[in-house]
Amino acid sequence: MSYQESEDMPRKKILSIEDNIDDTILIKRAHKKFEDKFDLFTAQCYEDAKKVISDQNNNFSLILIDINLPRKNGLEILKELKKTAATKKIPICILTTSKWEEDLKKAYKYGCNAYFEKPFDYKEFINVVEIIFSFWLVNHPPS
Amino acid sequence: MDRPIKENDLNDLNNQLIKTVEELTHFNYFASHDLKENIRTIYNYSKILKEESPPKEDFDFYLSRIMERSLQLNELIDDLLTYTKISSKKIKNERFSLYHLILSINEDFKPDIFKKNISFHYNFKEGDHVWCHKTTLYHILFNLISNSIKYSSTNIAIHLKKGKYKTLIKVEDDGEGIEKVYHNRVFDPFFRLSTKMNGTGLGLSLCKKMLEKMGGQIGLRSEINSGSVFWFYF
Repeated sequence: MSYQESEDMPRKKILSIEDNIDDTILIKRAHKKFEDKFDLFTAQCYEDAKKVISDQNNNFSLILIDINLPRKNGLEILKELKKTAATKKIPICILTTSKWEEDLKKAYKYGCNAYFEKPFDYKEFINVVEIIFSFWLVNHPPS
Repeated sequence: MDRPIKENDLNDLNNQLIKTVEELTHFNYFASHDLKENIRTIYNYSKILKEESPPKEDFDFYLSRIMERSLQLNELIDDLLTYTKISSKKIKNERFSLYHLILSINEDFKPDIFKKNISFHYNFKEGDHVWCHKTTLYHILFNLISNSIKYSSTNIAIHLKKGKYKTLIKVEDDGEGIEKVYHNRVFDPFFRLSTKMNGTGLGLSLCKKMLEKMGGQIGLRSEINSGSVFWFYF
C-alpha cells in the first residue's frame, strides 16, 4: 500500500526549524522531489515553530530541528516538544553541523528519533534530507 | 595550619583551570563551527554557479549570498582576533572626554541614526573626562550603541557617574528589550538573540572580557518591549 492511500486523506506536513536561510534553501530543494506527497513548513526559531505547530493543530508527521538556533537551541526545543502531550509523538530528527558527542547524547536523551550531521557538500546535504523524507514520510508506515 | 590552606588554594586553582579549559573548548568549538558554516555556504553556492548555470535571478542571489557570507567571515575573524588579543595586550590608561568619544562612535552610525530618527541623551558635558584605555571603552560603547540601534530603539540615553575610585556608565534604550530568562546568557560567546540580525555573536562577550581586563564588570536590566539598560563600571 502506498503511503497516500486516498485523495481524501489530509496531506502530510513536515516542519523544519532552521535559522540558516542557506540551509533552508537546500531543504526546500530536497522537498521538491516530494512536493506531491507532503507540505513543508519552515520556522527560524522556537517562537516561530510554536506558532506554526499550533496553527496547524499539532498535525505534523515529522519535525527537523537544527541545534545552533537563537535564544532556545534545538536541543531545548526537542526536549520541550517531547515533554508536551500534543507533540510528543511527532517523530523528530536533528539535522546539525554539530559533531559534538555531548550534543548527540543529549539529543537521544531528550527523545530524538534520529540524528544527522549536515554534509559539507550541498548535493550530499540534499541527499541526506531526501533520505530522511523518504524514510519518515514515504516508506515509514504512518502512525 | 598551613597545609590545609595550601591544599584549598590548589583545589581552587585546579577548579579554575578546569573551568577555563572547558570554556576554551566551548569557545573553540563554536568558533570553528561558525567559521565552517560560512565556508560551507561560500563553497556550495560557488559550486552551484559553476555546475548548474542557474538563471540570472538565481545567479545574482547566490552571488550576493557569497559576498554576504564572505563579509561575515571577515567580521568573525576580526572579532576572534580581538577576543584572543584582549588577555595578552597591555593597556595604557589616559584622560579623555567621554562626550567626544561618543560623538566619534555616532559618526559611524550616522546613516542609521538619521534613517531611524534616533535621539541621543546625555547626562554629561563636553568637559566631563574619564580615565581608562580609550580604544577599549570605544569598543564597549560601540557594541552597546550598535545593539541599541539594531533592536529598534528611538531614544538612547548614556549616563555617566563618577565615584571616588570607579566610573559607572549606563546605556539605556527603549528598544525591543530582552527576556529575563536570557539575561545570564547574553554575555556568553556565540549566544544569539535574534535570527534577523547579522553579527558574530561575540559582541557582548567581548565587552565582558574587556571590562574584566579593566577590573570592571558589566550587567543589564531589561524586560521584553520595555527597553534595556546595560551598565558597566571600571
